[in-house]
Amino acid sequence: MKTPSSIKLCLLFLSVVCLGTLVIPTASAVSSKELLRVQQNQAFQGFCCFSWLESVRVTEPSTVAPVIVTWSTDYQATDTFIAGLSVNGGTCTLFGPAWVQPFRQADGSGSFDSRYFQWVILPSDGLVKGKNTFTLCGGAFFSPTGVILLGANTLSVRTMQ
Amino acid sequence: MNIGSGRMKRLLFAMGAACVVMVMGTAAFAVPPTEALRIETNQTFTGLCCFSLGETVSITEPKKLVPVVVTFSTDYRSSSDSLVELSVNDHPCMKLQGMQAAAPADGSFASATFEWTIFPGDGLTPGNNKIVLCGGLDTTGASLTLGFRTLAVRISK
Repeated sequence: MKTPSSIKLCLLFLSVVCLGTLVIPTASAVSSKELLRVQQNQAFQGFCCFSWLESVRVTEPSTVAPVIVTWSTDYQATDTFIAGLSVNGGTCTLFGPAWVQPFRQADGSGSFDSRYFQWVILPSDGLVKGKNTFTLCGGAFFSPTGVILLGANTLSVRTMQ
Repeated sequence: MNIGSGRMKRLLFAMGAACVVMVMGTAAFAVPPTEALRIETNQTFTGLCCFSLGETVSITEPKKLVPVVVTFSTDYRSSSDSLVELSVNDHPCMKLQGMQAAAPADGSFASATFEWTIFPGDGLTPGNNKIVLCGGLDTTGASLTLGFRTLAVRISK
């Protein structure tokens, strides 16, 4: 048999749970880990595929939803390159368009070309409930000596909720 | 306070029900698979603009219509300049954007990304809205091959 104090306690607990349910999505809606801006040039050399050292992270709800990752970059490249993502430390994979054509000497002199990719990652691609990490990766397609110089670039992720 | 207070029990029940609805609501709206599309097979098109390129996304508009943003990102090879557009709810293709001819000699692909803002006046309606990618070549006899590509739509907030 419940006493008034146990009912009060139960009510308080329920209120806290409800409040938490309301507050948590609001707090996670603007997470700095979902956005990355790089403002210095960085060069990578070698055949595909290896990490390009840029990551973003998003928290998936209990019902895992698709996510969209966008990467916008200035670049110079001596070879044709492909770019993709590693999801949660997995293999570098192409989740949409990937090709980056050669442009100049990848030494930072002169102008840069630019590319903007939108990638769709589905739950079956390795997304898990909770934290998910997306790391930019890629490499040269034809030559092991190919160099890509990434200029200012942004990487972002959002869940489709 | 009464031990078996009816008011307290009703309040408790209402709060519990509200929590269940909130949790179920989150789960129900967490996966709108029609809002994003990823295609991993090449497809070649010939013919002058404009016809459906066969890719469709859809989105649910609230009663008070708001603009949506559609993004198309693709690898491609094209022997002439091409055009890509959108058809909203079976209206004629509109919001034309150009895609430059590109056929890298090494057999690889060029890439391009396009973004459109669709306003309520463009044919959006409350409820489900269908958005179809369309386009075509601007030269007779030319061809356009789309490689890996994604199409996504989101409500503008």
